[in-house]
Amino acid sequence: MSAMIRIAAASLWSRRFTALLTLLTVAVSVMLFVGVERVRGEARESFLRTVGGIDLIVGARSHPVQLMLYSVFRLGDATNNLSWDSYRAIAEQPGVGWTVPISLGDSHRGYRVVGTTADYFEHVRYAGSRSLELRQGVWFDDLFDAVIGAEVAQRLGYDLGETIILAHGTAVANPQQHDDRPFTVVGILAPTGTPIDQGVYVSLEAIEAIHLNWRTGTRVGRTPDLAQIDPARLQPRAITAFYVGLDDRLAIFNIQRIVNQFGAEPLTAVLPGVALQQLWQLLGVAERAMLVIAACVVLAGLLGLLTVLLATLSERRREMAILRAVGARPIDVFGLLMTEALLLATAGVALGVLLLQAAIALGSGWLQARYGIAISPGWPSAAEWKLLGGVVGAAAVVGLVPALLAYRRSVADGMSIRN
Amino acid sequence: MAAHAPATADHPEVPLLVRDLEFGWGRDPVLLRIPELRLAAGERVFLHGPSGSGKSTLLNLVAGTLAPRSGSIRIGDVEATALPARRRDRLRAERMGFVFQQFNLLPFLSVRDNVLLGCRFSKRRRARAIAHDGSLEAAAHRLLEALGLADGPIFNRPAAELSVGQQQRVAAARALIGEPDLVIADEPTSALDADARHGFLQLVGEECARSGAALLFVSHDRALEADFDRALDLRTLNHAAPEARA
Repeated sequence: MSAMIRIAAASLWSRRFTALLTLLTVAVSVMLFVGVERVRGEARESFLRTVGGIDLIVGARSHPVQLMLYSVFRLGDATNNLSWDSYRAIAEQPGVGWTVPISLGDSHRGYRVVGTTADYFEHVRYAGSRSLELRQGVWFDDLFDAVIGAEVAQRLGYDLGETIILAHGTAVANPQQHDDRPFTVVGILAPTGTPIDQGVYVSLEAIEAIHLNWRTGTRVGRTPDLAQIDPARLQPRAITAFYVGLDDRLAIFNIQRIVNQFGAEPLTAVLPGVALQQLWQLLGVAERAMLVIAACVVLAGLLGLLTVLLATLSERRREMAILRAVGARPIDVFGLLMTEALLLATAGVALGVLLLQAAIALGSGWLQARYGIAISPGWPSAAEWKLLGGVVGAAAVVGLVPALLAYRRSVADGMSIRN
Repeated sequence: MAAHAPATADHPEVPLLVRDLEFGWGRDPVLLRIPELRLAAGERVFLHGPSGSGKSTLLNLVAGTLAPRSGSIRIGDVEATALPARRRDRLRAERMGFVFQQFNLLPFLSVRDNVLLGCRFSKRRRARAIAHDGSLEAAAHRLLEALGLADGPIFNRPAAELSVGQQQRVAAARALIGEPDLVIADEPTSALDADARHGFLQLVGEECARSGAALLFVSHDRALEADFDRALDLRTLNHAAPEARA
């Protein structure tokens, strides 16, 4: 058998240009195939890491997935707010350990502004159980202090002491600026690899303050002098949502029921894990479609392999006859063709994995910044090994075609060399 | 000198014995009917016949890549017709060496690897080559030199780069390596010019004599007959009705 591998390798080497192109075709298709699987896996992982530590998310009545997306992932907008009184009522239920209110709706140069309290810094976790850390400065204390996420700082080149203007609404190009109330950056968070990096954090009171002279989306009148304003007017009356952490996890369904049946206004409480499952179910079709497309690309690559092997078969009849003359059995000829197919496929798969590693090494920064999906180069996962094995297996099936043809011909031709 | 190296292999007295052989394709009439064809050890036999007289068919039968309708083909002491196809393939690898008309070599292998191909599929021939020359490498080199390819660097060149004459010598070295009992040559000189033909025949003849292999040389060119111990006409050998061979 080792003789056949050497002969197959020499034969491929003599056709190295075609062989290399075939190998590249397989490699690129494998890169895409495994890449899709990798991004899918890492996206799930990364979403799950982001919601780690939050037991319940409570907001105005909406679809659980929507509530989770806008409150945690800052994707899309809330349909409605919930009142401060409702928030307090639920926050004081037995079993509730901590709550973090958030108020969304403003932005800074495309980054969402999150109105919250010091509890955000204290209780929100990422990557399972890691607490937030400040890379520089302190958490906000004064009314017009702001803390920015790592990505905001990096992309916009902000340092401590930077003065920033918030925009009303979340559109990237927004003419409605809160330019009468500039904020000062007092803290920069360490990177987390989650949407937390993309937030600008200010106090709930600041959110109230910048909207004092606003009615239905536009600014009216003069900016009031804060010194003359009753501090009670800065007390938040409504928030967008809040995160709940429980002392007693057994209370989770009880609290959820209380929220969902809340009398004063329609509210929704979701378990982030459950909402994520629902999201994956929604996206499952798209994910499968992606995987099917990638699999089709692999199939196209393997058909290319088949073409190359079949194209050379007639001109290699002489080669087969020579091998038969020196004592090769038809099964050896079969083995030669199979070996070639498998050598090409295996080398293609290996190159594909290498290309993927290179692509990940080059593109991970962009993917992290753009979509918050953290991918690092590394050995294929168990699921990916299965895909790779599947590709080699499929190549073996494809290789059967030329191998069986060569087998039949070498039985029929014997040692007769047909030109 | 290589030519003085004694043959180590003991060859059977009758390396090839064909008896009452009948062959025809499918349900076609009988194409070959050979009452007897016998080669003695070390004997050089010239078999001639015009193209289409069934030479290739006979060679495939002897090689075991075709099975006869009836009759016996003995390769040394083994009754080949009684063996399954895969055992016949092994028998061919162990006992026979072949040289064809042209394009004998795998173009992508080096000259040396093409020669070594002759004992790739046979333990017995590997063992004989090592016993005689010390190593496979040495056996290949000795044969190539004996056949007039003394130029060292040629051994590593791809076979595709050789002239037709050189290729035929490499093919002969491949057929001879490991001292098979029987060397079968099918029009090996038809692509060579007249001078080269004679030289090639002499070298192959000498090498066969040295190793004790019987040589069955098939050609339509009767001018070569003089170099052999015995000449046979396939049309005389074959008793099948002539119209069947049209």
